[in-house]
Amino acid sequence: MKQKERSLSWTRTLYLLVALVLVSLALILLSQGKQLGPVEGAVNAVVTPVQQFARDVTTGIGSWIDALSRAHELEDENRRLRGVVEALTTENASKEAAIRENEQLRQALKFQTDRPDITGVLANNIGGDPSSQREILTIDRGSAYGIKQGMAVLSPGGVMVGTIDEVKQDRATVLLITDQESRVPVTTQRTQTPGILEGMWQHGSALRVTHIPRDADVAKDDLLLTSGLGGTFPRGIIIAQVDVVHQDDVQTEKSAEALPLVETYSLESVLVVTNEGTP
Amino acid sequence: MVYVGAIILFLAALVQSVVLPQAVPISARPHFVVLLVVAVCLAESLYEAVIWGFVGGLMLDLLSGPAFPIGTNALILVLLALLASMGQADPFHNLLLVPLVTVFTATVFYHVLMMGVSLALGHSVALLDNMLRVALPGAILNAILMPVAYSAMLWLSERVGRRVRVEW
Repeated sequence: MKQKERSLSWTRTLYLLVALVLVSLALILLSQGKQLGPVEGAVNAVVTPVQQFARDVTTGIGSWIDALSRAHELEDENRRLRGVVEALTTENASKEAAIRENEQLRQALKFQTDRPDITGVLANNIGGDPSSQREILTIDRGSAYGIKQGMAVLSPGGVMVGTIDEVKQDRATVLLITDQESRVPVTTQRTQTPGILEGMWQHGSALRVTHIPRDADVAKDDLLLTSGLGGTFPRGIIIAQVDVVHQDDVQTEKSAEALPLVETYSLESVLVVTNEGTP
Repeated sequence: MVYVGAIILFLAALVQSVVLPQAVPISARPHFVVLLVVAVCLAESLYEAVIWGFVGGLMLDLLSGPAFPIGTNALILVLLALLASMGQADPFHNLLLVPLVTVFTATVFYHVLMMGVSLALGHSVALLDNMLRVALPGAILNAILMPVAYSAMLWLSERVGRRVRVEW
């Protein structure tokens, strides 16, 4: 009797397992064929506010923890800055670097105010990749707002943070520039040296600039801007800053490590550039 | 159990897709939905775990945007429940080690299948880096959290569950 019950239970489980596997496969096929759009739209209308709420709560708690943790940090920072001030009074070379950096930032600011040609859609960041394998954001705007695959995505301050990857009617995913699939043609602001900015997050660092001509003048702290090559992204958008330049005697090209100018994981909203490729 | 599970799974999926990517800016993160499915499988039954896997996966699919087709996580987590049910056999009668090994293996299994799906969708996947920086740390974190999840599931199972085990 017990054996029979056990057998029935196992049969029932097996049927359920097979049924749910088939349903999942059917959902995948329907989703790939964009036939689940209306259902997804209805579900998203319910879950998006919940996601935004969860995100707001996380941001609030994060800010609170950040403020607590920064109490010690500010003490350390204060001590460190005193050392820096002493060093600056004795080292004129550092002053030159500061002037150059200041100039670059001033130009960057000017650039931001000089770009009324860029039009975009403001969207909220409502999540990321639950599997942690890709550097993506989910935003609460999609094709209904004119968003298309490949469009550039900027931080509210105008720094490029990624490109639109997948689009549904009321949602889209942003492939961040730090993801290994991201490739953006760039130039340095100071010397107009071309290169390709590649994401390196999966490999343990942030960004890498490749295909820099061997004799090009590229230095630490150089700002990188989109070059507009290929017409995919608008030209002249700030994207990253050079950190370390690599060159050896054998290679015909230089490469450089670069750092993003925005902490992408803490972005609350982004601007999707909808007039892509405009100079 | 399934109704209680739906609420727990929704919260876990919300944390996984919204809170963790923002709160933990590194790739080493636990996977709460995987953890729950394995814990249910060991504490309750494969039958319950398959349902939890499907519902939890569907919630992850709906909350994580259009990065993967709907049904991807659901399919993987249903298969994961089947894998985790092997932990029910427990020939060593070791209540501590078996859940840890099972959740570790299941988490790696989840990430390997997700990488397979990414490849199938045409994305480039850094297999070794993903294993070393995402899958293995995630599996270790899940194994650390497993005693808490397993105890909680045993507690929940005794109150609202059926406690019917499928023997292998």
